[in-house]
Amino acid sequence: MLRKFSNSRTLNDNILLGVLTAFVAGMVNIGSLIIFFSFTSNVTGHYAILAAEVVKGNWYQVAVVFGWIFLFFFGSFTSNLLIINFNKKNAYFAHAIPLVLEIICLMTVGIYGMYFYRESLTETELLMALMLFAMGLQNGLTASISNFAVKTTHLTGTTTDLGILMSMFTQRQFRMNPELRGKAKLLGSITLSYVIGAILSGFAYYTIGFKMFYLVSVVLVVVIMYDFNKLHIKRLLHNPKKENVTERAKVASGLDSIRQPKKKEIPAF
Amino acid sequence: MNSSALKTIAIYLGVFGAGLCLFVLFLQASPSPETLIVGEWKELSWSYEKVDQPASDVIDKTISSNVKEAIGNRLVIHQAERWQFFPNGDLLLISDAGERMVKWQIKGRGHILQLVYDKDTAENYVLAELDNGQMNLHFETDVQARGIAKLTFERLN
Repeated sequence: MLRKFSNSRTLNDNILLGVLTAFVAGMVNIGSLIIFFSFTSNVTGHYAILAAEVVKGNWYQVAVVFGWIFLFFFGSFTSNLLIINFNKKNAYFAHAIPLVLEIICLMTVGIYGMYFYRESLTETELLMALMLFAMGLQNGLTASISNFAVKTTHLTGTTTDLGILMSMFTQRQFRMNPELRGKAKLLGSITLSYVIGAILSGFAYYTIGFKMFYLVSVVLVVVIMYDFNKLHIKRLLHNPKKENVTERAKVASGLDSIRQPKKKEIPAF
Repeated sequence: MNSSALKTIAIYLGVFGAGLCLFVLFLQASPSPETLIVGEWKELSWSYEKVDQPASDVIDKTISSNVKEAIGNRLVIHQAERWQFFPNGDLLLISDAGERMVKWQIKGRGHILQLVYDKDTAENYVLAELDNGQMNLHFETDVQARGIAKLTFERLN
């Protein structure tokens, strides 16, 4: 899910990554809406609000919304900066670090919300800022490693693409095209997962409050650990005696994926 | 590190620095809604900001006193004519019938006023306008006509 990069990724890699991260984005976005009355995983609305606040001359709000938009941008910037600088040295590490940063941000929101939050406006704005940075990190990561095929924090583009695909599927030649079917499967999975995450987030907040951010972090840990464990177990089963520290390091670095013969799978696009 | 890399870093730092300066400039240009709201406000009028269909009572968008009574019955702000916001998060609602203390918080980007009373009952109002002299609050209502009600206040001190 995290080891492979760009065109070497399969459709299944992208679906798995898309489903899990869209679930996280859905939970975070609706969580922030319920708790802080603002969205954190999409910034289109914030651009519109920025313009409206400029017109009204509410400069404090302009600063706040400008800061939020910048942090989403900076999250994506940071994600890709890490990827392009560390990808050749250690692909798995380069792809996992943005998610580790995202977990740190979301756990901070959860812990602060549980133990220190006094519901002041400044606290609300700062916690929102952390969540927007986290979503920028996530979107930057998924888009970057999937060659822009997986974007999970907002559904505007996804819904547009699904509409286009559904209209194409009215003709048999497109309906039978495996690449288009794969794309529809990917986008449909992302949308469904986002909505499920959003609904669960609503229930989770009213049941466990800020602890819902721990739950979100657990999902991100699953994303990070998936490749490592999958390869580690596979290696143990195939050749338990040869398992050693060096091999583990290779698994962690993602080098073994280059050596393994490629399975025949539908490529991602 | 060669000069090209240094130039790139300098450009990025310059752009991000300019963004930061802009952010600080905006932040200093007007006070936070949390500061601005503190003080005493007098209720001036109730009207409809938006209404689905103009019923006889709402043709001029002014909410009549009997409809105001019906809407207000379900709200903590019922009958309050003066609102006194304290910096510690207390809000004193003053009417002819008496006084009531509730808690206030501002959420979102400073656009939601939340009133909390009876421990965990919360009412949310959109802080549509707030400046040194006037405050407008919006909230949805479906009493008499479905729409958005607007409360206008003027600052007393």
